[in-house]
Amino acid sequence: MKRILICLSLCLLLSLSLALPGSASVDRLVDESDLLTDSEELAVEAELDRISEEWDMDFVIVLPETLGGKDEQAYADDYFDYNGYRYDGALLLLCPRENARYLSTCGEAMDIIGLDAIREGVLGHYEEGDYYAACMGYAQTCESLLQEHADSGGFSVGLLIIGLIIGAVLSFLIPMSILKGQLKTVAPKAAAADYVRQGSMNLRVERDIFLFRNVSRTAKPKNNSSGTHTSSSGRSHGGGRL
Amino acid sequence: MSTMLQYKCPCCGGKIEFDSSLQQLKCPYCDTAFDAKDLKDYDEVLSNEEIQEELHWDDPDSGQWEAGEGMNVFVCNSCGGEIITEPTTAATHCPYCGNPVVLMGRLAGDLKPDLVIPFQLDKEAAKEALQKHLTGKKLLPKLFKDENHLDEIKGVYVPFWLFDAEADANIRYRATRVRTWSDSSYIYTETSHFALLRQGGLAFDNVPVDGSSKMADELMESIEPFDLGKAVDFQTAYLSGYLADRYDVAWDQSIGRANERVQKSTQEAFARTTVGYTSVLPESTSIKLASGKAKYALLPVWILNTSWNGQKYTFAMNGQTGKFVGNLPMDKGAYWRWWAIWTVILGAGASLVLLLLRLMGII
Repeated sequence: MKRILICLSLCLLLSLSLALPGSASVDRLVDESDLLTDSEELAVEAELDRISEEWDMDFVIVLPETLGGKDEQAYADDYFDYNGYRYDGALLLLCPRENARYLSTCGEAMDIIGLDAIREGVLGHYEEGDYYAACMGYAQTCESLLQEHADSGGFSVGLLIIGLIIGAVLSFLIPMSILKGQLKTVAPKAAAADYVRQGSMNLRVERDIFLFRNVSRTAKPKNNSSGTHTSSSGRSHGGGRL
Repeated sequence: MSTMLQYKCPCCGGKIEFDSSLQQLKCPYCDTAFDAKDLKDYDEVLSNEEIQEELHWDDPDSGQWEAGEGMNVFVCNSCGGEIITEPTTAATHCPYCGNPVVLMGRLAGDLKPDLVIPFQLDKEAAKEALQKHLTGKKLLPKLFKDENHLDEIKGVYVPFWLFDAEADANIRYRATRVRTWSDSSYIYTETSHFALLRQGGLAFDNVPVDGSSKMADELMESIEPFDLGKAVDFQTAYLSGYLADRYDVAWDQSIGRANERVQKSTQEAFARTTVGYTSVLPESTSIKLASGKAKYALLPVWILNTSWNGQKYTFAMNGQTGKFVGNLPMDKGAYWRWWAIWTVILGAGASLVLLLLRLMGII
């Protein structure tokens, strides 16, 4: 009996460990190039872990020495797909030696983590050589984008107030003007359409003369997201070069 | 010259009035009815009889009505009572015996109407229409329906000028047609400009203009249209039992209003021929009007006066079609209550739409 209980407990533990997210033990900061000091690495990794657990996605930074002959898109996509990260998340690839700077997004993060925002949060620091600030900028930008998305994704008091203001204006314009109009039935007749002689309309001249034409053009708004592509694993990814 | 005409039943001598439901003169005492086609002959017979009688003019010695007040006094042929009328009154009732009276002198010569539309609807229909007018109006004070007092209800033949007009229009419009398309980088907008020329004519028959200064023009226009196709040659017998006024606004003072309406309708009719454009604006408009001779007609109107909270409310009903109009008071408390209800309903709807747009990522 005791053995059976031990076996069951072990099975339970095993199943629990399998049920836990695979990303719980993965490295979210991979600094092969030693661009960060040890203390900076700890700080960045702590920030990435916190955000990842809080939002149930994986936010990763990879700083490799080289890309091993791959292009930056394939490297970033494959790294995210084949290293045990959750389906939803984003990976920042920075490799100064090969001038590679790339954002790969996957799953729900494709709609949330915009390329322009990451450029703004990362690129300036990266070009100045301040890699720590660039990494922290990435983490903070991701968190603020996630927060912004959460705020705008559901019902809120602000939305209700805007709805009520629209409702107040609409009720003045439509139902109340109809109800008020029921009380006012005396009004002058501007025209005499009731007294037009049947069939008396006689159009002697009906000419439509073309004068000129002009053409104007406006640039299409640039799409902030870089579109989607499929990685070697078959997953869809978003993102793009920073 | 004014003479009084009272329609009396040839059978029993009782007063007879025009019955709108029968479209005949009817004696309420012996139920004898007279066909409309006989009315003209009857008019002539009565006119010849009345001309033998003594003519009653304004009584300057009566002392009650100064000349400046413009009131006229007649003596009732039935009871001898004095009937005081305004100078424009053409048909009324004796205040003493209730007999209908037609003042022939105010409907003769240049003052003789060309046409009349006989009343098709009676007093009861007007009362019913008033009750219907007061129902289903959410902002009407609840007490108005119960407490308003019907001071007066009268069937009046209102004098109208009827104008025929032929409009000759020459209008130039500036129009644009917009087409858009796009490629991978740009959105293109092509605007083509056109000059549209329209020339032609449009004819109008019997555009009515109220010829009585006592009647509010706005009120009379509100009960339009009248079906002038059902107008008949004027006969005084139609007036018996109703009030009638002669015109006191001459046709040349009324034609301006008819022209305004004809011009507006002509502009609208020609604008409807400019189809297929994104925008059309008139650049130059010339409308010449050739008016025919104005006809003088008496048209049937029920006037109802009520009072509530010390204020008078006037309603009018087209005596031919039954169209009923009259402004009503508003309950301000009810207004804001209904506004709040609609704000909640529409606000909830707008919030849901906003939520959907947000979920779809549009906003």
